[in-house]
Amino acid sequence: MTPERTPGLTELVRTLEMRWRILVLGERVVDAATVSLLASLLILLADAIFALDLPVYRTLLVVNGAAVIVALVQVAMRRREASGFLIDADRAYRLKSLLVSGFEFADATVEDDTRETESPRRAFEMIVVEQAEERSIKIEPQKVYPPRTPRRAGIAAALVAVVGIMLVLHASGWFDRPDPPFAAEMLMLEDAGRRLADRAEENDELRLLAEELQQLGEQTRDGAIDPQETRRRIDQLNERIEQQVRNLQRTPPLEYNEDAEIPPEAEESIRGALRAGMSDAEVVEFFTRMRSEGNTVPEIVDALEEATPDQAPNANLGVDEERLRELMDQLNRPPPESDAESDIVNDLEESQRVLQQMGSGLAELSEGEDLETGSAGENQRGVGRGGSPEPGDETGSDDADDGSESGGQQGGTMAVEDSATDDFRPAEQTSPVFREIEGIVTDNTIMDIIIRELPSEATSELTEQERDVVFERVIEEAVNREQTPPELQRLVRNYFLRLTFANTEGADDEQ
Amino acid sequence: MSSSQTAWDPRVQERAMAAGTKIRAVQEEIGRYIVGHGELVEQLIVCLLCRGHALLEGVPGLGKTFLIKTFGEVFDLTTTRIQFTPDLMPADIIGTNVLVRDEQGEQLIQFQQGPIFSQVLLADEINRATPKTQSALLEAMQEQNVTVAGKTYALVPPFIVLATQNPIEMEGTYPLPEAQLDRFFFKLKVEYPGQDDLLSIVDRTTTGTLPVLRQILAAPETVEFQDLIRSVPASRAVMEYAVRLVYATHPDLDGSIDEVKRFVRYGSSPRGAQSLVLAAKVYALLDNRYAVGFDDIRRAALPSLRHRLILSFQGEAEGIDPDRVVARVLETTPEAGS
Repeated sequence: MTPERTPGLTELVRTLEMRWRILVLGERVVDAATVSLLASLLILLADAIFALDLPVYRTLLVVNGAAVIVALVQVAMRRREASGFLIDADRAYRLKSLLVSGFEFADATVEDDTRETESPRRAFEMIVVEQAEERSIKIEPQKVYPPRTPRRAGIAAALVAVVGIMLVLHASGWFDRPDPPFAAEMLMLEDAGRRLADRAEENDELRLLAEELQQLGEQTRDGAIDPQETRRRIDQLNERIEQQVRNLQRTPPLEYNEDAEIPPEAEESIRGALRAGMSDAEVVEFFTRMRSEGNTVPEIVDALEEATPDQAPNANLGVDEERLRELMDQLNRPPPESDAESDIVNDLEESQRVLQQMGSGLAELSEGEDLETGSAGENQRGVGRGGSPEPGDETGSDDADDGSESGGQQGGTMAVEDSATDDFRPAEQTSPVFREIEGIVTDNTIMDIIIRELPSEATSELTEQERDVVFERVIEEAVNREQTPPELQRLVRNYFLRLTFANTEGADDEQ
Repeated sequence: MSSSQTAWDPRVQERAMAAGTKIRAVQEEIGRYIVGHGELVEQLIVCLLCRGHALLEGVPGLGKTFLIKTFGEVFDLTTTRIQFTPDLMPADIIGTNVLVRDEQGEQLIQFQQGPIFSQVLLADEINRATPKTQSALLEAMQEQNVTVAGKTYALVPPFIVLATQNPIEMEGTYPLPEAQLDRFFFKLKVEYPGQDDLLSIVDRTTTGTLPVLRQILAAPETVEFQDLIRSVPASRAVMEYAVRLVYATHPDLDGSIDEVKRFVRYGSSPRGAQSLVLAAKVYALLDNRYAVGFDDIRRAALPSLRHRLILSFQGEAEGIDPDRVVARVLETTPEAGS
C-alpha cells in the first residue's frame, strides 16, 4: 500500500475496515449470544427439572460472558485484505472495480518504476489510480456497510425474552421443588435418635428406641413407608417414649446429704492439688465427676490426694485465700441433676414432640391434602404449625427456664444475652428470624439443620442481629457437645461471646 | 498526486477514447442493417478485437451469414465463405500447389491460396465437414498462418474465423473435436428474434430498400485497437476471480458445486481464463473504463466457457445446457477470495 500516493484510498480502507468490524462484531455477538442464550435456557430448564441446585445467576453470567468474549476475540483476530473493503465499496457505488483496481495499480506503479511511461498499460494504470483517488473522497462508509439488523437478532430477542421470563420465575421460586413432607421433622427425628443412641450407653431399650427413631426418620424421608404405617409407628414410639420418660423421672435423684459438705480438713487436700498444678476449674470438675459417680466427699478427697503428688507446704498456690474460699463455696454447692439423665429425658421429649408434630401433620393431610403433592407453602405451614411451641407447652417453657438457669445448656428455647443486664431471655422475643420460622428454632437441632442445609459458599440472608443470635446458639451447642463442666460452661460461652462482639465492634470501627 | 503519477502519455487516453467511439459507431452501423442482434454484434466485435474466433450456433434462417458479411464490410475486411460439406477437403480451404506455366511457357509449381486467405472466414455449417477438414483450420486459427508442403504462409491480419453450426439437425454431422472447440474464443448462440424484431426484418428485407453500409474502421485501425486492448490493465483481484471461475468448472477440485460434479466431465481449459480476461478488457474499454471489473468478467463468462465444458454422460443424458452450469458457477463463486 502506498499511503503517500493514495492518501484518499488508504484512509477509505481504514474507515471501511472500522465500520466493517463494528458490523461483524454486532453479528458475531448476536450469533454467540444466540448460542449462549440457548445454553442458558437449557441450564435453567435443567435446573428446574432436575433440581441441580446450580448457582444459576453466576452460571448464566459466565456462559454469556464467555460467548461475548469469544465473539470479540474472533472479530479481533479476523483478517481481511484491503482489496476486500474496496471491492465492497465498488459494488455499493457501482464503480465497476475502479477503487480496487486503483489501489492495486498504485502499488504496481511503485514496485515497477522502470516501465516506460509511454507504455499504454502504465498510462491506463495511472489514469485508474487518479480516478480512484478522486472517487474515494466521496465514498461514505455507511453506504458501503449500511446498518443492518444481525441475522439472528429475532431469535436472540426471543431467547432473551424467554430466558428473562425463566429468570423471573426462578427468582420468584416458581421452580423450587416442594420439600418432602416433614423433611425438617425427619431430620430432627434422626438427629434426636442419634443423640439418644450416644447417650443410651448400656440401656438396651433406649438404644433400640433410638434406632427405631432414626429408622422412622430415614424411611419416611425416603418414602419407603406409607403415611398410615408412619402414623402407626409414631403412635407406638410415642407410647414407648412416654414410658421411658416416666421410668427416668421415677428414678430418685442423687440425695444430697451431710457427707456432701466439704469438711474444712479437705481444704488441705485441695491446697495440695492446686500446688500440684491443677486449676480451680479442674478441681471443680474433679469433684463434679466424682460426685456424679456416687462417691462421697471423703472418697473424693482421698482420690484427690492420690491423684496429686506432695508439694512443699509453702509452694505458691496460684490463688489467694479469697479465691480459695470461693472455690470451697463452689464445691459445697449441691450437685447438679444428673446431666446424662436430663439429656436423655430432653432427647426423648424432643423426639416425642417431633413425633406429635408429624402425627398431627399426617392427620391433617389425610383429611384433605395429598401427602405426595402438597405445595411447598403448605409444607412450610405444616412444619411451622408442628414445630412452634404452643402456648403453655410445658416442654417448651421448661426448656426455656433451664436455658436461662444453666446458660442455655439444654433449653428448647434459645436464650439471648441482654447486653445491659447480662441476663438471658428467650430468643423468640428478640430475633425476628426466629419469629419468622416460628417454633423450629426452639429445637436444639435446628442450628445443625440450618448449617447442614446451607451450601458451602452460600450467602447468609440473616441480619447482623440474627446472625449474633445464631452464633450464640452455635456456641451453646458446641459447649454442650464437648461436655464442658457445668461450672465452666458460662465462662466459656461468655468468652466466645465477648470474642465475637469484640470482632464485630472492631469491624464497625474500621468502617 | 505525485508528478510521476501524472506522467502518463495523454495520447494513450485519446486513442482509447477514439477506439471506444469507433467501435460504438461500428455497432450502430451494423445495427442499422441487422435487426435484433445487438449483443451478438458486440460479441463478434469483442472476438475480433481479442484476435479470437467465434462459433455461432443457431437454427437456419436467423441471418448468421448475412450478419457475418455485414460485419466484414463495416470493418473493411475481406470476407470469404466456405460451405462445409462432408466431401470438402483441407486443400479446398487452405489451397494447394498446382502446376502452372509462366509467361515463358515453363512449368512451375505455384501455391494456389484457398479461401482461408481472407480476413473474415465464414465457415458455414462447419460440423458437416469431416474432422480431417475441420482440423485444417487449427493452424490458421491458432497461428494465423498456414503450412502447405512445408512452406508457411502468413494470413493477413486481422484474421477471424466465424463458423456456424446447426444445433438441431445432427444427422450426417461431425461434432467438432474438443481441441477445435477450445480454439474458438467465443461460442455465440443466435437466438430467434423477438416479434418486433421479426417485424422489422420482414419489413426491411421485403421492400428492397436496404441501407447502404459505411466502412467505419480500416484493417490497420482494427489491428491497432487489438494491440491497445491488451494494454488495458486488470487488477489481481479481478484476474483471480476469472481464475476461480475457471477452476470452479472442474468437477474434481475441492469445493466444486453439485451441478459441476454431476454434469461436467472436464472443466474449462486455461484458454477459458484467457478468454475471460481479454474479453473483459474490451468490455471495459467499450465502457470508457481503463481497468477491468468483475462485471466485465461475468459478462464474458457465458460465451467464453459454455463450449469449454465437456459434459459427463449424465449431463448429456439429461440434456443439461452448459449455460446452466456456467450460470450456477457464476452465482456461487465469490468476487473476493476472503
